[in-house]
Amino acid sequence: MRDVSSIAALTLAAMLCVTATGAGAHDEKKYPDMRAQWTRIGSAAFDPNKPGGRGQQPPLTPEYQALLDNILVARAAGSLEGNMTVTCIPSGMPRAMIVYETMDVIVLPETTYIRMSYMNELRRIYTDGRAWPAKITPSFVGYSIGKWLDEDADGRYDTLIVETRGFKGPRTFDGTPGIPLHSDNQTVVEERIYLDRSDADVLHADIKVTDHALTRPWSVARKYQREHSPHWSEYICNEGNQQLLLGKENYMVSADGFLMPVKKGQAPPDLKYFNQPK
Amino acid sequence: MLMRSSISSVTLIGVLCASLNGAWALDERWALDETKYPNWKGQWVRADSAETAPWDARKPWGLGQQPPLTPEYQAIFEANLKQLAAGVRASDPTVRCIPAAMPRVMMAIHPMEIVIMPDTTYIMVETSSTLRRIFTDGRAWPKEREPSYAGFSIGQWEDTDRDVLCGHA
Repeated sequence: MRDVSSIAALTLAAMLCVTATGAGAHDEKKYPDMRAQWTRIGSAAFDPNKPGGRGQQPPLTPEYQALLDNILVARAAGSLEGNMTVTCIPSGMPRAMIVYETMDVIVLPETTYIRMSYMNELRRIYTDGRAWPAKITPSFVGYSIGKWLDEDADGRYDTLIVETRGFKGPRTFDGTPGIPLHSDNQTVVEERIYLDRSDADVLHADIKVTDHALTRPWSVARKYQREHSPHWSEYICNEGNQQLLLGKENYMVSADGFLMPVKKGQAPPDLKYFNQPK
Repeated sequence: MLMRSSISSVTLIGVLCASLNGAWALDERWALDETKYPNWKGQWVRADSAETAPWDARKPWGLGQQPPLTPEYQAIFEANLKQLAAGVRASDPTVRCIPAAMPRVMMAIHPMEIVIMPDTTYIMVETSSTLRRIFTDGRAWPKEREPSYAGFSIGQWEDTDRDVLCGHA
């Protein structure tokens, strides 16, 4: 009788437990809590574990290494060549995952949303089991399909694996020096996104990039810190942006509204469509 | 003894339950029970198809909108219309990629997506890549707010015969 009573109590409690965990269509307990605001840990280089500039040692093909060398020469002269974000073109992937400002992560069973404050880029990572579409409209952030894994087999997902394709460009790995990705935009980005096992306020993104500008895939490990009391700012690139790209040259608009050069000896832009004094 | 045994069994299960429920959650209050909220998933597009996208879709564009403007702002509005007639769109900040902002962004010139979480409803509008966060966590208006184009929004869910999210921005 005593056993029967205990079993009945256990059964009732277990039923209550099932009700509590399974009430919603979306059982949030199955997913890691990645909500809140995340900020970058480490440098804004693509590989935060290596020095910036040439210290990044990107495994570029000779053609793209030469392109990078030219960019470095132009940068040394004051130009911002190779960094499209100065004219408010978004970072795109994989550079967006550097997270210059802050990042939101919202996990729903069918989609995980990663939203960057910088350039307002929104990544939708589809986890609804869909196949790759026959045609992808190219975008800077690409088209992402993900899958949740329960790697420690505790009945709860812990790792989101993501593959992203379908890009447009130009895109670079970073802002400085502006390591280029191939202009064919055939980049494939694979990621593993997970909370740190010992500190749930640290998020990891292991990123592997395959691109025709590279001689081999380039893998980096990035980390982000959770902010519990977030302050959300709006990042509006065009608000007060004084950088201009005209043709292949970039210029600046001075504080008093005049066009000005960004490097010594820079020629002014061609004004052929304006009525010029004869 | 029998009673104590049952209680300790239930307590053990309760502890296991709490552990299952709470291991990952920062704050249990915001665990999502989707059955409590309306299903607003999918992509939303503007229902009216007027090419000029007037603010009041039931009235004609331009002066036909009859906005209840003060005399000062009516004069600005009419000057803007004259500029537009001359081919100058200087009064529209979006031509310089400044966001459409609230309330204009809710015209949904481009599609929008709505993501409902218990503490926040996100309205993601493709126009100007605008993200609206409507806080439904019961917070009060902060004393200081950083101005933004989308504004700061506080909302409250109501359980009427329709699913209504009331908000102030």
